[in-house]
Amino acid sequence: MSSSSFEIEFPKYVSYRKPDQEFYTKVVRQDSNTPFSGLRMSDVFIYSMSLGFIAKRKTQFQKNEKSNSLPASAFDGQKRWLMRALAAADTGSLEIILDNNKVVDIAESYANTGIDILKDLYHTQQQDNDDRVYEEHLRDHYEKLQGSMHN
Amino acid sequence: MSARSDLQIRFLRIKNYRQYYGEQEIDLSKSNGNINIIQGENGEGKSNILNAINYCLYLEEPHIKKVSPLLPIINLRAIREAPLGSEVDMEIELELGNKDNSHRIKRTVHMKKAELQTDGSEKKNYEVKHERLGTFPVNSATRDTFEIKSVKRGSSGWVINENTESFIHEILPKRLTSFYFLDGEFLESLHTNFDQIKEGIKEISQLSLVLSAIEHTKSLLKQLEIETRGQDPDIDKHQEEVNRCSEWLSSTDGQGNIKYSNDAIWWKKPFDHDELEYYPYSGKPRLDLKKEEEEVLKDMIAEIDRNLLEHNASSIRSWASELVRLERTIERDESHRDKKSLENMNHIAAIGPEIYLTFCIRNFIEFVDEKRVRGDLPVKWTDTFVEDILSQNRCICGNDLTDVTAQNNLLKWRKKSKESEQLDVAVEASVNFKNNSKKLKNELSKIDQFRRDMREYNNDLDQHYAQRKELEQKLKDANEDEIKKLMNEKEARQNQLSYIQRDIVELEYEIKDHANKFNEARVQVSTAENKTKSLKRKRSTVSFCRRTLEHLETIRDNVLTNMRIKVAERTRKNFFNLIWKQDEFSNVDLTDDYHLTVIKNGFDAVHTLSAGERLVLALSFIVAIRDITGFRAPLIIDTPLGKISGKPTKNIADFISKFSQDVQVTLLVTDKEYQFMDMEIEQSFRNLIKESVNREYALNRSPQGNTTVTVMK
Repeated sequence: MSSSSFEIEFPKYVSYRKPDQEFYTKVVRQDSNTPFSGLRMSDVFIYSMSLGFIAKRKTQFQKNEKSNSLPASAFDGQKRWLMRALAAADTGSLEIILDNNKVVDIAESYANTGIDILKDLYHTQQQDNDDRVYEEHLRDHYEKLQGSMHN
Repeated sequence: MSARSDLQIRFLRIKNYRQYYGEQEIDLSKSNGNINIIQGENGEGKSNILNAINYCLYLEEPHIKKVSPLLPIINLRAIREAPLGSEVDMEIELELGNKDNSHRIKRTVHMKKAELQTDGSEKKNYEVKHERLGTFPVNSATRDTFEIKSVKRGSSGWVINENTESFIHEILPKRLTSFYFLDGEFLESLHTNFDQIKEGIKEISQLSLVLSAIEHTKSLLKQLEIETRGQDPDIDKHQEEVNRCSEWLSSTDGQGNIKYSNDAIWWKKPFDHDELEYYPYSGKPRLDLKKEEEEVLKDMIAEIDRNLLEHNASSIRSWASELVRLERTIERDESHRDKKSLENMNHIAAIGPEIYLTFCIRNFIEFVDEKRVRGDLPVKWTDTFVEDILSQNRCICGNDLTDVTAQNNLLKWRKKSKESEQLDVAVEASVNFKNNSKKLKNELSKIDQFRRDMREYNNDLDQHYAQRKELEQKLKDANEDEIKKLMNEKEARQNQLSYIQRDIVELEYEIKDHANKFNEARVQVSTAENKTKSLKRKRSTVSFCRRTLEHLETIRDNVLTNMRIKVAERTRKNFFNLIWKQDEFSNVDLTDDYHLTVIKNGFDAVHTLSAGERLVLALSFIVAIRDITGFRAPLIIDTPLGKISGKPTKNIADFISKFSQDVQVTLLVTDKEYQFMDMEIEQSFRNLIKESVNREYALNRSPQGNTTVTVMK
């Protein structure tokens, strides 16, 4: 996203909860028929983080729950800027983007909430054999957004 | 060593120190012998002469009597006589020197006499307690000013010594004071004071460098031991995962069991349930076997198709040909549909976050815009802006910038801005976010296009499926056993193929998953190994430190042992030179644990020695220490004879006279001790040492309790 001459430092790893590892692995399978088929776990993380944000809820890691599994290299410019935008909105300050550890902490705590929402969508998809659940959820949110803008 | 050799106290000047009222000067410079006598009765101030010297040099009064700390250090009469508001000073000055150098050291304490306080009804004296200066019976404001000054006589007269304290430490180390400023009590108990003996030997061994190296190594070792405590408990776990994944990846049964085996494996030939075909184990991952199976099945189906296409009946050939074409179309369309479906799904994953995070993104853009409007961003513009207005010497608001303060303020502001220069990338990100936001609606509508495309493929496929079914049915209904058999076989092979293909996808995923896990575990192992490497390095440092510590302690012990043996030899020699009953004692030694022993009749008799014998032993030891160090510091002994009388007095007198040939000796003696005519030897101590005496002083106490120093007649 950013082609700036210098990039803000980024931590070595981004973490998710250890018990969520199976789900992260499952949804990125080529044949998973999810939005993440053939993609990377970092895509699942960013999606979860976004879902967590609209749920307006952060979930902190419990003791020994953190797994340093997502390498920084998996997060391209766009993903990093989404994390920073989220952190800026969360703290109400743009300066937070200079503190990448805090940015990642905030992103992780929203992703921890969002992954559970994603799991619900996945289970609905499996149960109803309907691969439209993700786009319907997205459209619903978009429409609400449009509605709130008009109001 | 020139500063230390043959060092003498040339004079001692005391002003208003404890019982010494006014200024008292004691000239100790050498004229005849080298022994100075200061005679005074108990309580007249002998010990305070020793204290004054110690206080001047080290700010300590080691020989202070129990009641003295309660009294002010400044003479009471001097305080009383001083007018209110005036300053009373206490001074101790001494000159130290040898043939090469002279040093004058002066210690001063100032006190300002203040108004007496009242408690409302009557005037009352309040006590002022001062940790170092004692308790003052009047409310005097004592200024805590301990001044020490020293001067050195050079070719151009007296010059100020820059660092008096370190200079004192160099010529008269404080830790050795017990061996040159002595009192009778110390001499009396030295043989039981092992710590004192050990300290003395340590000090003269010049081990300070080794001892500080030992301390430093110990503290380093302690720190390293804390850091190396505990291993990484995860290393085995990660290595186990690496092994497991590695074995799985190279195995043919998914359990890691048939790895590198020369045994052949039996492969069940598709469709022929009873026939097992023998395959030599190639060591390839079982994915290859699955793919081989897939190829075999595809060949089999192709063979069936060929048989159908080459059938005698033209209708069969035509239907078979149509079926093959249709199957290819179905395969292609299914692939296109699946691709569209995947694209659609991945598109959702791509645009989802930006839609869900619309609020954050808008917020972000607003933050950046606000900063841009305020001129805070981009920060790099600040630089250009500041350069511009500085070059014009005028601010945009019209203020003059020729003033240095205004310029500095501007530069300070630029410096502060530069600290957040990284925020400039946010401007670029904000522009990108804005552009992306505009496209979001289009991106969302792409999903509809995907859906439309998929629907078209599905519609086509539905038609193709129906046509295929129709053709298959036609072929099956051809009423020919051969065709029926071929069609059944084809159906079975196709089912098998789809299973195998599903297995392949599954397996490919599993392999990818295991490969990821393998790589991840390997990274973890590598991290843990690096930790271990660093741990190993630290352990090796610990081991090195332990060896170093061992060596240093060995050096220390060896030096101390050598020094102890040397001191013991000298003490023995001095003792037997000095002692009057040489035949009674067979040996004097200093044991490993720094016990002074005197062997008499085969036993250690140190605790049964008489007062005179104890003094001889102590002096023997002190002289031994002094000889070895080369510190020719003046020796001051308070009450040297104490309870000694008779022949020992003569021996001690002889010894001190002899000793004073090289070293200035000052004896603080009582009248009885010095002038008493001993009936046994028919002489007084004064008479015994008269040839070596340099100057004699008497301390005189006034009825008010103040002491003055006079030359003895």
